[in-house]
Amino acid sequence: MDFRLSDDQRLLDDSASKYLAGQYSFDLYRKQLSDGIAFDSSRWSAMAELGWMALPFPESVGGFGGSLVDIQLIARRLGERLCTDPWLTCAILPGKLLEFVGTDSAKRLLADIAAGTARGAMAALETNGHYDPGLIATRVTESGDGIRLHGIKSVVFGAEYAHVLLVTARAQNGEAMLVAVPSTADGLTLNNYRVVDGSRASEVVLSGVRLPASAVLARGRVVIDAVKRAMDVANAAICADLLGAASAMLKRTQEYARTRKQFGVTIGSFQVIQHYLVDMFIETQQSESLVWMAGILGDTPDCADREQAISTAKAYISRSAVLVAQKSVQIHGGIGVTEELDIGHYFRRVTHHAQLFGDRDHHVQRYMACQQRDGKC
Amino acid sequence: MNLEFTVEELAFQREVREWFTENVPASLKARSDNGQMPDKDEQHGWEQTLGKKGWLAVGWPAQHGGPGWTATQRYIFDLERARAGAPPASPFGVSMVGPVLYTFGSADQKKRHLTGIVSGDVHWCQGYSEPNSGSDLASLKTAAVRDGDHYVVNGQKIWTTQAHWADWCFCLVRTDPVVKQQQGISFLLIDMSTPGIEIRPIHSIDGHHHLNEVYFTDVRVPVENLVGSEGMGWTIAKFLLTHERTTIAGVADSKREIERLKQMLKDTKQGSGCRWDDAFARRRVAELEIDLAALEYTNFRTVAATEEGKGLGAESSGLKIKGTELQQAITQAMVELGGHLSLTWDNDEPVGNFAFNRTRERYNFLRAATIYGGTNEIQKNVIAKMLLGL
Ligand SMILES: Cc1cc2nc3c(=O)[nH]c(=O)nc-3n(C[C@H](O)[C@H](O)[C@H](O)COP(=O)(O)OP(=O)(O)OC[C@H]3O[C@@H](n4cnc5c(N)ncnc54)[C@H](O)[C@@H]3O)c2cc1C
Repeated sequence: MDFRLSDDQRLLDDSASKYLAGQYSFDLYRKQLSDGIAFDSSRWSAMAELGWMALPFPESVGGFGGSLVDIQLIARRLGERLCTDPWLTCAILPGKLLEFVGTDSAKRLLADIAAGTARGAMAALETNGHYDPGLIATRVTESGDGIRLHGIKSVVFGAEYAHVLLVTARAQNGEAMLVAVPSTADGLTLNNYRVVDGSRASEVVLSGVRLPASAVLARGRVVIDAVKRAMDVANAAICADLLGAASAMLKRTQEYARTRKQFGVTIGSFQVIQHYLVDMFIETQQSESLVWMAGILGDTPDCADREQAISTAKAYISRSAVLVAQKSVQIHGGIGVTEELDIGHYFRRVTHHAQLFGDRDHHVQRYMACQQRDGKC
Repeated sequence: MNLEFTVEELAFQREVREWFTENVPASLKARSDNGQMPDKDEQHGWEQTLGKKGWLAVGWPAQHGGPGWTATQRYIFDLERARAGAPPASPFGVSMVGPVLYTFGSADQKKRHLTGIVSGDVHWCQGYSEPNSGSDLASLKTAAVRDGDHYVVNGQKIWTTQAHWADWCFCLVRTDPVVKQQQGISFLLIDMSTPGIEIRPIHSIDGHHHLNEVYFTDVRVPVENLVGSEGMGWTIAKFLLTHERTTIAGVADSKREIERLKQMLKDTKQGSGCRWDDAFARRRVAELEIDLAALEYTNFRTVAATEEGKGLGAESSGLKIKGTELQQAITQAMVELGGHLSLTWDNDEPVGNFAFNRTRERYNFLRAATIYGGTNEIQKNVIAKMLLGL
């Protein structure tokens, strides 16, 4: 057993931590929130410079061949800093989806994402599908040398910052397809809104979008499998992000308990507050263990092992981080439920990430399904 | 033992239900169907409608303008109110300062203030908490210094709910800085239009403006606005803590919210079925209902005890703890069972079922339920001391 980071990983972690400490702040986060944006092109370029977009992709597309743990190292720092930049949703998630479908046209797109010159967004889920990417009502019709798309993809994170949307749809014969839809396509409408953590998502409305047949990146079973696997990568990152956010809340709440006085003493001198903080501490310790477990055991194409590892981590950490978030607010008292302090914003981020691509119930159910299939997929 | 309503009580329930069906404005119902709180005009308009019917100050004795109902009738009324999708009346006038005034107020104070509360025309806020005096309320510092026929008030209140909607504020102020903390506190009625009062908004994590900071700079308050005598403020505040607590558990609204959650799950498609087909979702709902039953029957027992004339003591703390925990659990289930539909923040167009799109409002706001009205930790301290002798 070895839980130590490699030298490269320590460098990556340090530089992520330093970069965000220098270039991102709570004030900036709040300003973006009130301006209704969750993206900054100069920060995007800087992150690309630092290699964050290329990091986890194969060298054959210009990537650095990094691991799932590498992704988690950055995600944890983003969570810790409350950063809403769409690194996960516009680079890692769509990039991984392209990598996993693995066709030539997908790889060409991936090369642009890895280079930081293009941004994508995965448009896989729909309002009637809950968390299941297999429930697709969006239709693709093929005619001659082209295709048309009809349907609505729902809560597409980062869509308004993407150059290309990776849309799943079904053909007349029920076959799934992955289609690259340029953000400028005729018949494509995005209805944008803010989501709970302060980042942005969209309803993606496809009203007979007409594209050349070459826009179809992949078809058949590989499409849904790749979406699921990409969501597992995202969930490993989300777990790390939750860990970062929960650790930041714990740290702030500890400090608050040491300084806030009532009845002439610090509230941290009350045993009930001490025990809350101890519970929070233990929960973040256990969460951290499962973050790295998921990063290592979840980094495999074998879907049975992967699903079990990712669902174990997400089921545990989503509950644990929510508990830390709720107790942090409670210990802060009135000031904890305001927008003035960062605690309330971390609370919202944790609420959001805990159910992004599956809440605890969903992942416990998926864990049960893994068991029922007896290790097979 | 008998767990049923009497024939008279059932008739009363029908009467109340019919009246609500006819009188709850559609806009108000539409909001509560989406889990949203009313705005100022809706809230005040609704309170005036209740006031006209004589059903606003439902806990008050008849001689002060209440309907003179039994505790069971009030309980039925509250159930039907929530069931109809109407919000609870703002507590500051009818549940707080009103009972204080008819119990401790002078004849002039009663004459001046009670009718406006009963009719829903005059709105109040509660100025207790200060930045450094939350749980430790008795340490409050806002000073009222006697100057002829006036008190001159200086200091700061915080977390003052609806101060920006209020005509009047009932405040705890320090009139004597020398004596033991509790004995130097007085209960003062302050007209919010008095010069020297500044209100600053605080936005809470549901994204709305309910809370305020209220600053008092040389605010001159006529001495006739002192309730009781100087130094009686703490006694009055303690009286309020055990007064009219039959609705503190929030059973009526929790019941309605669970029903609403069920309906939301049934109305939300998942594949060829709906969210209600998910056994995990049904289990969550079942667990909430079981917890609600425990709370509801405990509340019944407490109501029955008040009918027999036994006052409600520290037991109300238990109702507050369990009631607020349940409110939070319901809103959390609502957020979680909606999946991504619960993550949208400011969409005007529905994303799937709009009711799920708005669940985060109540979830976020009700984190405060275990903080306001005395935190749950403080409530537990009360039970440990008063009921368990610890
Ligand atoms: C939404 C909302 C509405 C409100 N509306 C009003 C209003 O209209 N008018 C008004 O006057 N006030 C109002 N309040 C204020 C409310 O009463 C206070 O927030 C509450 O009393 C707690 O005080 P505090 O926020 O200063 O927290 P603190 O007292 O600083 O408490 C911080 C933490 O320490 C814990 N703690 C404190 N003392 C002890 C102890 N002895 N043992 C164990 N734990 C302890 C608390 O439980 C809490 O977890 C409102 C608050 C909120 C959040």
